[in-house]
Amino acid sequence: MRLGSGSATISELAQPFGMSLTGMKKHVRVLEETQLVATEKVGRTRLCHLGPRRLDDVQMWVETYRQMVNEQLDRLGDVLDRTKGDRQ
Amino acid sequence: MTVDQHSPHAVRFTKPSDLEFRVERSFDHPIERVWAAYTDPALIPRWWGQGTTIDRLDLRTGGSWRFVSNPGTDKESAVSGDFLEVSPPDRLVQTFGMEGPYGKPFTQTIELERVGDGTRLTITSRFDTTEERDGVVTYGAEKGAIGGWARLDAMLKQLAAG
Repeated sequence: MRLGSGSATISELAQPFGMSLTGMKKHVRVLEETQLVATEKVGRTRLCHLGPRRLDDVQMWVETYRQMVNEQLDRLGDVLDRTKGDRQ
Repeated sequence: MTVDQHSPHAVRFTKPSDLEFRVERSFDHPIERVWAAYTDPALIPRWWGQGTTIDRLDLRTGGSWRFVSNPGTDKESAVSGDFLEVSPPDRLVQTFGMEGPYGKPFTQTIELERVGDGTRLTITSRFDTTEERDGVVTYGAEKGAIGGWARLDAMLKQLAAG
C-alpha cells in the first residue's frame, strides 16, 4: 500500500487511481474507521498515514484470494441451480 | 475471518502442505451435474468470471485446454494446461498455467465426492516450491480484482464482517 512508504495527502492517494478527491475521501474515511489509516489535518490538507491496526500482507492477499474463489464457486452453484431440470 | 465460513456452502481454504493449497466447497446437487458444470465448455463461461471464453477444451486424458479472460480488451489474459487424468464424475487432474510472466504451470487435482444428496468439490493445487504457491495466490488476487480499489473494497467487506 502506498502509505507503507510514508504519509500522503488525499490528492496524492487519489491521483494514481484516477479517483476523485471525494471518492478517495470516502475510502479514507472507511479505512480510518477500521483503524488501518489515521489522518491529521495539516494546514488546509489532510495527511494520511498508516493507522494503529496492521494487517499482515500475506494474510491480506490470501483473504482477497479466498473472496475471489468464493465468488467463482458461488457462481458455479448458481449455474447448477439454474440448470436444474435441464437435460444433461 | 469471514461470516460466511459458517454457512454450509462456505469455501474452505487450506494449505495441506508447504507445496499445496486446497479449496473445498459443497453443492446441493448430484455429482454428475457438478462434474458437468465444471467441465462443460457451454457452462464454464457462466461461472468462471472475467468474460472468459473457451478457446480449447479437449476433455480426455492427454487432451488440453485454454481459456481466455477479458478477450479483446487490454486486460486480456489466458490460462491453459493439459489433462493428465479425466475420470468422470469424480476425478480430474490437469496442469494449470498462466500465460505470461507468472511462472511455470502447477498441477490441479479436482475431486468430487458424493455427500448425502449433494457433492463436495475439492481442488488441490500443487507447486514445485512454496514461493510459487504463494506467488499464485497473490497473482490470483491481483487478477481477480478489477482495479486496486475493488480489491480494497473486498478486503474492507471482510474486515467489517470479521
